[in-house]
Amino acid sequence: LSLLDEAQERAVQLENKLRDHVDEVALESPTNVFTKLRAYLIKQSDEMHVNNDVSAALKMYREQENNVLISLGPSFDKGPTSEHFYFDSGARLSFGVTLQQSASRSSLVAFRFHLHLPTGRSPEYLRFDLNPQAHADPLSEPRCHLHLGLDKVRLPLPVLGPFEILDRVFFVVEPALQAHPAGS
Amino acid sequence: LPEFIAPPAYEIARRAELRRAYAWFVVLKPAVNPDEALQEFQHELSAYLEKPVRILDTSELPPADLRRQLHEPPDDTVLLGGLDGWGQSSWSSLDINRDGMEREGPLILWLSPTAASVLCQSAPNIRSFIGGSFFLLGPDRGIMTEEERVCRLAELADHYQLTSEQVIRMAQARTLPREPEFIEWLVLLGRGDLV
Repeated sequence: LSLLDEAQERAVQLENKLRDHVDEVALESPTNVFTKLRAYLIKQSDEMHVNNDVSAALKMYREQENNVLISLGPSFDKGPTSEHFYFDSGARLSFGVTLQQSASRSSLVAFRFHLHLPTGRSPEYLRFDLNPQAHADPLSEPRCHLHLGLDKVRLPLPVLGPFEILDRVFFVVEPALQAHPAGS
Repeated sequence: LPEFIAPPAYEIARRAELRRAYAWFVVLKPAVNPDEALQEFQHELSAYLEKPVRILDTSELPPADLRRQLHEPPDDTVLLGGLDGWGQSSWSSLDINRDGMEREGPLILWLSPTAASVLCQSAPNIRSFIGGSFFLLGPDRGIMTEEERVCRLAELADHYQLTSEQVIRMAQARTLPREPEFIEWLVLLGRGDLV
């Protein structure tokens, strides 16, 4: 086997472990997840100087197959909008989480969390993605991955729930951005 | 009855969080699906207060038991239901013993408009304690409107230069790209069967 073949084999093994983990992530009902996300974001916003109208920006859509989309902000970050969640550092957040309800619980189908960093920062953005299915080439596209400002570079992540991602954004990334302003 | 404002559940929850101790509220329940609304309201309160919220059904509870249960424990948030059948004499009796119902945790009376009217007429002490904290349970702005759904679909179509029909055909042929946005597209189209 070539080194590339071995790398691809390791990526497949990692993806298989990840698949089991995705199935194990059990969340509360989509309505409860939505309610808690709204409370989380409003409370975080209350701690900031910048104003965010979370209750207007955070939306839930339920379709008849028990799939639920919870979204904040636009589907694609093409510049600042009034629907983004803004941080004191100047960063802005948008996301979409798709859940599937089963009885009173729900499972993760897919998500995208796009954190656009303040002007002058490198990388330009961080994006946490969970794809709905595994890719044929998990080395280049793991199912759960992090983009570090480069669309085609996807680094594997453990499966995180929506609150676990927000915890990193609010308690790790944002404090670091504030502690080390661009150009400092 | 005073004039009511109609904040959504999370706004009432925020008020309860801000006032916390010794706060009494009246929330007028909706005429449609009041039981479901009560459960959702309970979840909303729990999410903000970050503690369980207790629903106490008073419909078959003697006043002495009601006072006892309000103090076991005295510091949690209680949603008091089952009060719609109370007549003037029951409210008057409770009014005289209002001090016995004082508790550290927020108390939210879940009432029909008729029951709220009886309370105002028959229980002046309780009415005074509640003050202006009468609320209609307003609609939740978090539910995506049809206009917002259509806008979001247009945003997806514009970005990928695809139509919704093409996306459905690709999903049926299992050739849909794996990005999360395509799953959102199918959900917004009501085609979760293809997810």
